[in-house]
Amino acid sequence: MAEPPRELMILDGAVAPRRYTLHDDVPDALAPQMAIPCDAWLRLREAGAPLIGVGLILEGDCDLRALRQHLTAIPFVALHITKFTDGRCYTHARRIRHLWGYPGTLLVYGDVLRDQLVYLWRVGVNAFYLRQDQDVRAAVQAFSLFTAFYQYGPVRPVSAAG
Amino acid sequence: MYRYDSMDTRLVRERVEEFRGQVQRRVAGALSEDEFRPLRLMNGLYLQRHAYMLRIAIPYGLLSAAQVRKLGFVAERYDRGFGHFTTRQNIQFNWIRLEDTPDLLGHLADVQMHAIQTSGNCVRNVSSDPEAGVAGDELLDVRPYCELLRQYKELHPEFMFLPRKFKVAFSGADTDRAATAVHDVGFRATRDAAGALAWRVYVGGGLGRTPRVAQLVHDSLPLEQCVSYLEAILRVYNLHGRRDNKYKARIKILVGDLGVSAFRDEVEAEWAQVPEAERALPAAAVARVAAMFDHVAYDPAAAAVTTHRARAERDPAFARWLRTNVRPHKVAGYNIVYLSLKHPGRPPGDASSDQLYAIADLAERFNHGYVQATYTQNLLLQYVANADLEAVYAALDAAGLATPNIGTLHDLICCPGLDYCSLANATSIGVAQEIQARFDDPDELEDIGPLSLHMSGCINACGHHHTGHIGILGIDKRGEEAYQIAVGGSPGVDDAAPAKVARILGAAVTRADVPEVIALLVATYREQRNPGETFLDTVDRVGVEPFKERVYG
Ligand code: SF4
Repeated sequence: MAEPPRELMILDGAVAPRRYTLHDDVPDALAPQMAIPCDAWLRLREAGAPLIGVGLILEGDCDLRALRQHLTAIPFVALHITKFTDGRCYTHARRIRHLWGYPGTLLVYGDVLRDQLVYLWRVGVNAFYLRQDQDVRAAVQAFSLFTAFYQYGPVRPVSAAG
Repeated sequence: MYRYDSMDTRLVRERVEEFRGQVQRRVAGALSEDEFRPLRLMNGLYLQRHAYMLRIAIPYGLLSAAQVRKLGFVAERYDRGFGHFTTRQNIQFNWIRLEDTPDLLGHLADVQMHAIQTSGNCVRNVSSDPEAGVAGDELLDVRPYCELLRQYKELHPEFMFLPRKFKVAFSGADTDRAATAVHDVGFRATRDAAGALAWRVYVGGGLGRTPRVAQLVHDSLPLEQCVSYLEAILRVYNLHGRRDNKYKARIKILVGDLGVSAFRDEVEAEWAQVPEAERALPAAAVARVAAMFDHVAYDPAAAAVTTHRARAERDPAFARWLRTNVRPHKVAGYNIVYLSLKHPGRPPGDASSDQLYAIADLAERFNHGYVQATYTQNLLLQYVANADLEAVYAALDAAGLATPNIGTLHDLICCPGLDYCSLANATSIGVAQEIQARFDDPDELEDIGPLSLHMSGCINACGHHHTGHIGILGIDKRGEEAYQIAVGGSPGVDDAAPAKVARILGAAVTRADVPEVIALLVATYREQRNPGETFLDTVDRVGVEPFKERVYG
């Protein structure tokens, strides 16, 4: 039986089962594939917690500067788009992926519609949790809508290794 | 002008198909109006009082004859026979059906046009000096840089959901004809200490409910670094611009809150993260694009033709048109001819489909196939040889485009107001026509001299009322249309005459009183002026008091 849409994500341009869990509060037992808020992640990290496989959540208003030095230790970053029209996570993604060269998975979740996918993909996002009412299988077609892009330099469509 | 290659063409076609899908999902109910709104706005489609309005981009205002002809076709087939040129050098159609938009955009794509980012919270159409490339006072032809920035910003994935709209203007001449000081970012060509061409970059200008004159953020940016520097500005704005209140979301508020010097530090810090090698536009790209704007092989013999002068001596109407609507060109023997879209009885900026067809023909016959839209909602032909002036005049006159009023009180800027706009508080087009009718003597208009009257139908200031020598703002006073009158504004001319916001004279007046109030202001100027002084000069010298006294005293 096919998985219900709410269990699906788009990963590197294809439909796949969701594999990450997102936690607003730090769970008692941390495990790989969990994401916790950025400040909690940094706090635990400073305190010497191993954080194996634990990713972090970035909100639009997060200050990314403290993050840069830890980049190699972060297995995945989850960007939270709270509102369709809020573009801050696009700049977060571009900075992390293109300016800082982050190789891991960049996931977006929240108010994510198919109409944002191509833009997000091009700023470096490679994993998408769409809003629950979205048809994931139809949305994946968005990636083939555009074959031509203007921007040069570091903005290139990427398909990063997860 | 820039010619699309196969990539540009493909991108525009693909954008049409994407939008077709979005319209279908909206019609089928799969997209709510709330979700569709930002998507349609990014593609220039507004819902107005009576119908949808579609705004089509005219990058830096430059059009080919084929494009103008196509706009005539769109006006005829999809609108009620008119197109409306705007202060940002775009064109709008006011009577569009949602279902027609994908096909309409398909027609535009045939002539390398589109509606991408003519609205929405993204980087809007790039505007420029309409006399770029031909102005006598030009340091730099800015059109290649405008084009490179157009390509950079079009569907730029990082900046499609900014806090608010973002407008950029370029000027490469001593005189600023692009109103750079009231744009979010303005680039003005200058010479650096070593004498090399560079940009002065201004940030945080804008009108609306909090009018602000842009402030200098960089005084000598190398020309080829304009795009990466703008990117740093955009990144700071995208992250830190306010998103909690749409009236405080423009970059001018951020610059005001931080102060220009702290804002500059943020931009520099952001810019420093961009690898040095990526900061400049590739020289080959600049050269390739610049070559496309080298339009005309000028005829050295053109200046020897002076038949138009003899005609002017025996034909006062032609002589007047030469004085008011024709401007000097950088090459002797050539002229910049303004086409007035301020025909009395017509909404300012409107052109009929027949006029658009006529203009396309004229452009082909006399202007190497080009037409240029201006900030003042007119058009111009920028390569007219002396020998062609009489024929151009005859054709323009026949098409109703030779009204000798460029730069005069008749040449007013005006938003659509209550006739179309769902945000309007008051009529603007009708009032504009009443003012034009009050001053119907061309001798009087010429005697009054340069006078810009700008009018908006609400505080959003699409008619730039803050920067008019006379500014009129329509408001709602207990359910009645009323008009606030201000004087002394300017979009800025040069360092000696910078931009400034007009000062309100007093309580709003009724619609019926507006023409008389304007007449009183003009009468005050004529009494007070020293020889050679313009309206604005006089206001600057004597202040607003005499004007206030005359209207309210
Ligand atoms: S100024 Fe107001 S009335 Fe005029 S077009 Fe803009 S929003 Fe509409």
